Amino acid sequence: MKVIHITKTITSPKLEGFLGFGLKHAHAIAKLLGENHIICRSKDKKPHTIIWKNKVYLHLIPNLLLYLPLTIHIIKKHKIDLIVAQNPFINGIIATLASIITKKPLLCTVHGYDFTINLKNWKFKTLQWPLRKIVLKMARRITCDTKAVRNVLISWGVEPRKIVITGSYVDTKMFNPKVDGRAVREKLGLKEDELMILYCGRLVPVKGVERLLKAAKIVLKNTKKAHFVIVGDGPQRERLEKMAKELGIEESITFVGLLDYKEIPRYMSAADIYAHPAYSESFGKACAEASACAKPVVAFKVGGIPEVIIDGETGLLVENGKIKQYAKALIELIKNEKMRKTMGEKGRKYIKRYEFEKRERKVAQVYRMTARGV
Amino acid sequence: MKICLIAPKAEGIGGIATTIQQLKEKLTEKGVEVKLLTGGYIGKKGLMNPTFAISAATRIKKVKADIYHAHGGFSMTALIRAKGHKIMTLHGNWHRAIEFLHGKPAGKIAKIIEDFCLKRVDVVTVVSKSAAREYEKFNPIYIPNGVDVEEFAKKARKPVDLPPNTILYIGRLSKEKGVDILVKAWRQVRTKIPNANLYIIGDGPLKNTLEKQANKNVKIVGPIPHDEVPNWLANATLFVLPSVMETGMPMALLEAMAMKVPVIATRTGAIPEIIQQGETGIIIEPNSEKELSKAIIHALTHDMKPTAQKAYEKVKKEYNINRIIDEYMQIYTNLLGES
Repeated sequence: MKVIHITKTITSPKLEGFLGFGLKHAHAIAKLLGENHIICRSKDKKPHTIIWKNKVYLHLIPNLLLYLPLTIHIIKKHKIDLIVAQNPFINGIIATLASIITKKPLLCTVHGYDFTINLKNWKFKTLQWPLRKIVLKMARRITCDTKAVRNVLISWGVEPRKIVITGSYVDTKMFNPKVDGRAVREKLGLKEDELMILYCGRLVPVKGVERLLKAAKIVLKNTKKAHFVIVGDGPQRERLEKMAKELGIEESITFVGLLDYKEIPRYMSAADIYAHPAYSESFGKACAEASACAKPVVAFKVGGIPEVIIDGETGLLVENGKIKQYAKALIELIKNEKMRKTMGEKGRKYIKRYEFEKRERKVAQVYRMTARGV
Repeated sequence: MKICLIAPKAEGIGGIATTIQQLKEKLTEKGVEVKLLTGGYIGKKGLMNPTFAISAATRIKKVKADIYHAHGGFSMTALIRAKGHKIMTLHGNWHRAIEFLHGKPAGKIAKIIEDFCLKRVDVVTVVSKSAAREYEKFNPIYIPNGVDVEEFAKKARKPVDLPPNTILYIGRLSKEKGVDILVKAWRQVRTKIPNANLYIIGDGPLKNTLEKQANKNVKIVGPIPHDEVPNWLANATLFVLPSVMETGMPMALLEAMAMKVPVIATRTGAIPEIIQQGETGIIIEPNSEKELSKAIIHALTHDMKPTAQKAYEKVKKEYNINRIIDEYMQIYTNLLGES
């Protein structure tokens, strides 16, 4: 079977960092199905194709206007059986048109960032919403990460029958408790008895890092043993650094900045507690990765997080917005070493259900069923 | 969720029967209502046994279910008459099996029937990667047969006392399984290793001929219930599957591997996917007495424990029943659109 993925942001195959895991997924799908084509934007002047082993074809297209004609051309030339849109907006529209013209079934994948959009925003409501609705209606099947996303899709009026939860994936080999984190602790200048509380992710409003800082203030009033480490970059960074100073906790907080993805497991291993203060999350991959490293997670009960982290078992979850309770949960874990350990171990065990191979098989299964018209 | 499983037989040994039993047990545990539509086993294979295909096709209308899940080529006719979601699980290449048993014209007719039916079902699943390639145009989903590795070993409560150097064959006694070749090869093994024993377990058309051919130290045990299989495997030195033509995934082979018994099998059907030469067992060309006797002698005179251990790990990882049930469950939920 041959499948074509329509996506936007793989800019150049040289950018391994961004591609890294996406490529792994592309190869796994090609291996399970036979042939995998990917259409994406590039900065090169002319459209061209890169062919990897395992029959992965990367078609790089410089101009959005060329997307549709070239997609149709590729579908006809390679006799593609299934079209997959990687989000229900621009890619979705192109995929839908291609699907109508070539009469091939369409499958649409809904990611976290599609899920976080706000229906009350007028720009979204008037411009994007009608287009998205058409794509979701035309798609024969829609895949998403968690039950939370499924519920949102149903509230948008999508037929429940069409939605398949494939789950996201965590690289349990890359993220494992055996990774040595001592070098990281040394680099950060942490003392033996100091506990490292980590956050990894973009510094954007939806992640709610300012809530973590507010909670940190309360925690540090109680105990001096904690040190907060923020990994990641984003438009909010300056504001957050200023805020840390205003709260008077800048000495117990380190902003590490953007890191290579390969470095993350070391930071996760070095940490004692993983804190995730997001307002909304479809899956919460960072939380799952922390669990894979056998670390307890403290987060708010939002989106798909309750499906990834079990409250009281693999981490502590707090009602959204209750910062005092959030700080309390952190203090509880800081004081209780045994609890940290058992929660971490349970988390590692639980997260194995999101293994890469398992999820790929699930995705391949859905692709095959959709291609058969089911 | 109500599921109707359709299969020619649901008891005894063999890939289809075992899968049906496992599905019934595990799905019921998960709260799924399972109904069975099966025929009696009359000991004959292929077109010699048309009763099931006809009787099931007439009975199917009376069984109400959300999903109809058929196993094996002969359940196809019943399946396409069903009203609801339809899943076809092919245990091997059906039209080629018919061709082997009844000649080319029959095989061609079988292929036409097969094409007609497979176009009309919702999902096609196959048990081997080689079958997945052969049925590529129907977009099959590959789900192998599985063994309940932990439970299976526990079932060996009363192991049968077998003499040392005992070789075991478990399966149907018919031409395509190559048991006659095994009995012929046995003479050469006996001249080299006089205290070796061969136990043949199973039933089938070749039973009488084999009993005549068999000499000393060959014991034809006859048919046993599936629950007894672990008891026999527990003390066996070696398991041999000399198939000439294997179209599906041989269950007995997986079960022997799950019991950490070293295995010898032939390069046919899905077997090369399970056995890597020297890694997880010994694999030989089919239809060769010489190679078979050589392999048996080699296995009896060398330490096969590491291979058996590797084979066990492979079965536990790739052919684990829990993984397989999960994948069938996913198809069911995807068809019904439940979460």
